[in-house]
Amino acid sequence: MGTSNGTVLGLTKVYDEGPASDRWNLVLVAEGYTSAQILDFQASVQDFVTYLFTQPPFDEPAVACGINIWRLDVSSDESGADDPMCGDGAGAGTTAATYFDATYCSDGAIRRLLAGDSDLVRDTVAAALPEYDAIIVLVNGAIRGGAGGSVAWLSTSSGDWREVAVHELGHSAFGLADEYDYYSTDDEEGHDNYTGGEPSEPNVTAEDDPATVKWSALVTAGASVPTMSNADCGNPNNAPSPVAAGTVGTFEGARYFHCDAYRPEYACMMRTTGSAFCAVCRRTIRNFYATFAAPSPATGVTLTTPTLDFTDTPVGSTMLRAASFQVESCVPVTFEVTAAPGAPFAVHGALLVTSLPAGGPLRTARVFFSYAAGAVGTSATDSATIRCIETAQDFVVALNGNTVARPTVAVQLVLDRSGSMLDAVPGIGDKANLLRFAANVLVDLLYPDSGIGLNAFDQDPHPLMDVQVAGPAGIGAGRLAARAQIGAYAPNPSGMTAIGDGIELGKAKLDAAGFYDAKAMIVLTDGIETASKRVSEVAAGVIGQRVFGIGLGTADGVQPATLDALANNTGGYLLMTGQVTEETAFQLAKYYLQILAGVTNNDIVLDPEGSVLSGQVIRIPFDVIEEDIEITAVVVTPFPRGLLMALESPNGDIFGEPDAATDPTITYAYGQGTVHLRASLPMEKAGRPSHAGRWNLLIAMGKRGQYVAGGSLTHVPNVPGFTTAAGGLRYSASVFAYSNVKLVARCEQNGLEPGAVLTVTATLTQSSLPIEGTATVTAEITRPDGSMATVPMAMVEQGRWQLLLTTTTQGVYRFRVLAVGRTIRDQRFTREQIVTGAVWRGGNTPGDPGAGGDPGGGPGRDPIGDLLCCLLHSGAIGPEALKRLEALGIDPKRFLECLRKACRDRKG
Amino acid sequence: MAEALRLQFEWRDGSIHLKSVRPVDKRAPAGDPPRRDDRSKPPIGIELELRDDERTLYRRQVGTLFPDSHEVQTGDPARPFARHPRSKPYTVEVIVPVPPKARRLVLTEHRVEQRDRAAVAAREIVHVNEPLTIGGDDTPRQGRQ
Repeated sequence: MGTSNGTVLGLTKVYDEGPASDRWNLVLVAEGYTSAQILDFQASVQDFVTYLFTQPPFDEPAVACGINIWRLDVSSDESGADDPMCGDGAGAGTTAATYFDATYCSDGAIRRLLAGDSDLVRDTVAAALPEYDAIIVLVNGAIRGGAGGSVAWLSTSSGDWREVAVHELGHSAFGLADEYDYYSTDDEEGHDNYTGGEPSEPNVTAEDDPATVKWSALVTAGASVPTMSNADCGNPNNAPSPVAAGTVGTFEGARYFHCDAYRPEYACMMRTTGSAFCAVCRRTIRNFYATFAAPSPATGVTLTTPTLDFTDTPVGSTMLRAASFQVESCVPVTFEVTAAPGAPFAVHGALLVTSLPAGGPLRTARVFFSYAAGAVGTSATDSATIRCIETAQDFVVALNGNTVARPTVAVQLVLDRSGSMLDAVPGIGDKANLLRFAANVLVDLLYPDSGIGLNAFDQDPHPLMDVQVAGPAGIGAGRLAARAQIGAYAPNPSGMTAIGDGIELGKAKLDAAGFYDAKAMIVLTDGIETASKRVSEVAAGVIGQRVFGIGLGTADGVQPATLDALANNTGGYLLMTGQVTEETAFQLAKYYLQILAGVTNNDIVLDPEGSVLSGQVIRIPFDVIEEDIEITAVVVTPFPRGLLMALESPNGDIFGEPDAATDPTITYAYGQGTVHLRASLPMEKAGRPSHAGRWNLLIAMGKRGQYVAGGSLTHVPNVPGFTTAAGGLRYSASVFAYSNVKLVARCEQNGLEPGAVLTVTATLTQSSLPIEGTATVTAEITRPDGSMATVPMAMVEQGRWQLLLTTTTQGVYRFRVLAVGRTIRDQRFTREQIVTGAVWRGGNTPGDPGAGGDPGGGPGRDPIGDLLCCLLHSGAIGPEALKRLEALGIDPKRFLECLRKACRDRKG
Repeated sequence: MAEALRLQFEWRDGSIHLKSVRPVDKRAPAGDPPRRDDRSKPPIGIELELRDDERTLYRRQVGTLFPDSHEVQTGDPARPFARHPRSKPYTVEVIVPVPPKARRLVLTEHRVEQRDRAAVAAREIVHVNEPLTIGGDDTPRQGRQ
């Protein structure tokens, strides 16, 4: 019997956790299986693998991931093993020609001692897999049998062969002792009392006191001394356990002795094969595999960012960048900054970062660094050393940073002055009043170094004001000039809508504005395009700046498809108000402020509305994080002088108008429709800095509703839309943060008619990287009918959330996207943004602008109506024609009024 | 460069010999944590050490690899195993790491003194007093008992 009695068929990896050089490799070898029976062997191997990884602690990922299991298929000429007549009187007296010469009665005395040529097994396995750690030979034997050792032998005929195999590994791989308290089946002489000294194995002891035993850290509280005794040292103790299963203490009877040797629990795999491993054995096994589960130094940890560039950091800000590691490991991997960089760089967060294997073994670990901007034009270079503790590798990361001035922004307001802007809005007057109110809010909040320009359009473009620098809050020359233009803004009663003209002029004004780091155009329109140039006639490719749109009106009234497309193609977006009511004043102001915040790299922290009564103080909490370097709190109201506004810091300090007079980092200003406070962070009072934490925005109305206008006191008038029935003053408050924690929300739609799907996405980043901390994002939905719902958004990838909504009715769908999260330094933050989608009947088949001439044109339009409107707007209906109408009995004045109204109505 | 050595020992008639030392490119099991006090009474059993000229670089208890009895399956669920004395030689393999300065391999058996149960006697059963080379040298090494 031997190698001439079979064939090595090949080695197969049946459980793969990595390279053989990095893991603990168990090889199961076939013996006594003919080539026709090899599938039986393979099934037994799979059976063992399945069993093993259900047994604690092998069912723990940190253990399992340290193990590879291989199968060596070897066919034998004959099945089974030799079964000679044995010294114990048993044996069938048969032989089998097998590759490894397995035989029962391998020592000549005990039939069940089944073993074979272990040296041949070892050499055969080594030829196939030099990195083997343990070998188990599965013998296709007829009866139970086996032998332990570096090469273990097992017959698969017994029902518990898997358990026996694991028990044997307990000895050969993990160094565990037997916990049974008998020696042999019949001879117990000499095994009454253990006198051999403290055993080296971790799971048996000569010590009876659980408090001092080698496994005392695992002992169950209150375990007695000993936890279980053997009253009869002449025999093994088969009494039931006096304590609950799983109790760890000292149980007398172990290592083949009845007394004076103790085991940790009543039952264990090292005592009987019907039990799981006890807590001490499990701990030993875990510790053993920690070496093999650790990531491979060659492939487990890779630095993917050897250089961190903090390029063009705005003055006054701190930029974060992360050293990123690709980690392949099923156990936690820890990184420690062993050599931190010096100022202006610093480690951001803990010096010790642990990457957990949640979600899979392949992941990215990040260690954050910061660069604090210095004076404009300065730069710095340094390095940091990061050590991976598990692989003992050191990684050096280079850091480079430079400081630049904060980006400047020029904003061009493009205003619709078509006749429909004179449409009445109850409580407000008309749409033009809405526009004036909201546009002034934007002008109030401009940074002093921002540029502001205005132009308007009806059927022609109209320049209003070239771009000028805004100047100081409240009093800057550009700001005052813009307010004057806004005040003088007047719609054309017979004006039509040529948005393209407005955009084209706006672009020309921005181009001529000189150098600004960013330029943006905000186009407001309240109706359908009725004149050339249309948006479609102004190619997006030549715009060059971000275009934002605001649609003042309903979806079918504005039909903003082309403006929406232009905005999205230039990096901007469109917001729709929906039905215009007295509520639209705050909404429009909010839209202007949101767009302004976006182009100036601010983020909205919160954006509530409310009302305040005389003598009342409103306290609105909001969170500031370390990454916020400036905050702007603004209260929008038509009567700003009637309000007092202040900020309360986390340590209770109050910052208000008086502080702006003495602290140059604080601005407090009243505008046409706002009062705002803007300050760099940290804010400081009496040597106490205030930065991250819970702040409060305080709003109060002067007693008796007083406000100051032109130096005199008067009462806040009762104005529908801005005052409540109880005499309170309505407000819309906003807090913005200049920060590297940013929320960007967008709404895309796959059609323009009801039934289209709106896809709202929200992206949260920190220093342009997906947010590392935890966050939840919700969307507060307002449907066209005014009904509302709050829906959680689903995270589709790190830092990105999504919501899909199928529209059912025409109109504007508004989404208030709200993100609440915590940074990697566990600081709470909020961010919010509004996005809208609009659908209307016929939206997917817009009119052909070339078919019916100007205005409108295309299928479904009224050519007679087109003619009359054209005659009206072009001035073709002169006084003589009106006289003739009067002679016919038609009141010319009313005729013209009707015609104007009809022409306005046909626009939307 | 190989990360570990596969040491092959032979147990024969109660004594242990080092048969071969082979390099193997894989991780080795971690050693035991250092004893708090080297002068304290060591546990009984067989201990493997890799040493330089002055101190122990790697230590591991390996007693369970050298049993003097077989573990035999009985088929009795109440007593699934029984022990029977060994008689035939057998081979044991131990994988150890390669500390750079290791010059000595020592297997030490600690057992309770017959005459004084409170004392633990140490007996070196294998001692290789030369650098453990990694050159595929399969020459059997004989140690003193």
